[in-house]
Amino acid sequence: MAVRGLRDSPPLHPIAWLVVVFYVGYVLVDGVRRSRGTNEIEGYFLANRSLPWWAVGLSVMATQLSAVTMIGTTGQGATDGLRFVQFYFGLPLAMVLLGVTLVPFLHRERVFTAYEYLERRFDAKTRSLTAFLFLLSRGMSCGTIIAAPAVVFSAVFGWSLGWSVTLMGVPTVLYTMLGGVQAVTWADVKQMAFIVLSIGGLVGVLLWNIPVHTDDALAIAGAAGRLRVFDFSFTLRETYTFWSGLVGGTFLMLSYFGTDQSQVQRYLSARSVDAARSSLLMSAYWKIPLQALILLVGVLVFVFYLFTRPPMLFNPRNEASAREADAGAYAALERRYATALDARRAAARAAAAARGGGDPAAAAAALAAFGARETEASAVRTEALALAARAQREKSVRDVNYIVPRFVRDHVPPVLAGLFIAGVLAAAMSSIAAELNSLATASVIDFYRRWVRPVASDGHYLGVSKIATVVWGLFACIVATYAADLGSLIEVVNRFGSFFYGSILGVFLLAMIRRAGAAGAFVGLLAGMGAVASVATYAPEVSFLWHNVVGAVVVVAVGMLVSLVAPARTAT
Amino acid sequence: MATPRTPQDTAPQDVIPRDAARFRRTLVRVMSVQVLTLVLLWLLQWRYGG
Repeated sequence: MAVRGLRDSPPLHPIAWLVVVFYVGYVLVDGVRRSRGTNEIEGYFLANRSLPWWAVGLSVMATQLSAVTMIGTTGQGATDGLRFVQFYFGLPLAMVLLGVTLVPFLHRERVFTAYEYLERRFDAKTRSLTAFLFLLSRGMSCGTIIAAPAVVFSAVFGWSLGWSVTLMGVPTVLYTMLGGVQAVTWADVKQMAFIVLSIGGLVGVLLWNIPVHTDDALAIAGAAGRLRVFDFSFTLRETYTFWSGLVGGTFLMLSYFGTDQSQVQRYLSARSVDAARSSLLMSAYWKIPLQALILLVGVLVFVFYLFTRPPMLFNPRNEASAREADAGAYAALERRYATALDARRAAARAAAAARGGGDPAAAAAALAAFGARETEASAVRTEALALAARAQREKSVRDVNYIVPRFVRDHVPPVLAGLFIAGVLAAAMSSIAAELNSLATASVIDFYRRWVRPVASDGHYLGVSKIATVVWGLFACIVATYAADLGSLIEVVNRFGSFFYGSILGVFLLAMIRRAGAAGAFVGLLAGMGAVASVATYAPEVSFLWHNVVGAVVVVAVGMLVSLVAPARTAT
Repeated sequence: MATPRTPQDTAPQDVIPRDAARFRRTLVRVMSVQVLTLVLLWLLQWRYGG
């Protein structure tokens, strides 16, 4: 069933609209202004390798931080607490490793794409296959990163899906097409500022509106398990544990930042190897604290809703479908939920009062009592979600992505609501722009210039690059518009993407081993993808974070075996 | 067609010790910040995590 704007959603305040329009206009005008100096292909794709480290660093962070982070991760903080931050534990190590291996190497090779290097090191088919896999996965994912916030905005703010996609897609395609990487990077810098401002604004509103002392608020959140960060259990089934974050996360981040053109292109545009390294280290320093802050927003939203009655279901579509399917059952659940919320609110107030009473035992007992009331309220909400799932003939439905947008709509002053929406748009647009830019680069450099038209003027390639950007932009917008209807197909696409992420990393690892040859790289790549597909099919309980480890290890092992058996390609 | 190259092939020999030293310094700095962050998160969990 398609998600369309809900007519009963309250309209966005004009002041909020003003902030959103100002943001979109500013980014668009500034992006177009940055199109100067992009008359050559090197300027268009790599800004003539002239950008300062801090701009590239902010661009790297903005590219990785998508709209899903703003609405999904904050929501995850509200329902699941801080433990998601473990997902990023491997990032700093990955950045340091890349800083001394691939980054200086790719920068010195003066390549346009990471895959271009694979032809120099191995052969054309390895380059073409990895570039093709990149185009396939990023082409589809570009559509889904527009779709995710568009679906939420359409449901929460009542915008039509087409309008939401247009608002994000059209300005982004325009400035990316006109200004190339220069426009993308400088827009990212401003977008990162909007993102941080909007997160800071939310934290301020929350702290102002939570009626208990921050220390008590944190203790109450802790009693509900929202401040549990570390899980040291070693299991392949759980994605968010210390070990999967550290080991699987390192491989994932090595793959993403080291071999994904949407990130590689950021630091290839840096003015020197040191600038490129430093740009990555900015993420190494700031990613985990920033991610913890984003999750903390969700935790504070959870605490806020302890004292202000929340909706039972945050996605208006779920609420409407459950009510329509069985109005009586839904009304009964609402009554039970109201009772559970009253008990939970009283318990939260009692816990805050007990903590101020100076009796640790009484405070602990009050916090435990609150935890029990929270479990009861949560159980009713789970039943309501199950009812919505049955109504929509789905196995399960979630509304994590809707919690914070709904909070913003209902409880945040218009200026800050506009700033939050601008922040989400900024997060979406910065990721989309980087992906469109890199998709156009790989299409032109790895396919058009390599196979179709090896010799032509810069002006010709520039024209083709701009056309490629628009074509990929249109493709992403079309995928986004229909993504709501595709449902599980998106999940299939995402899973398919995880099949070869680690494998591509394996090929780059092989490239660093002197004895590895072209045949080994190609066979290893196929073997790696096959191994990951087998794990995903026959051991679906294994978390996708481990797929990257499996892919990379199998590629290196098989690649080396084949290289030792088959003679390495010698250059002519 | 170029001779197959690896990072080791293209790194000038005189740069390697300097790069290695810089890497060690960077590694220590980044990891120190991470350890500090993890300690702060641990304290948050220990103080409020129940």
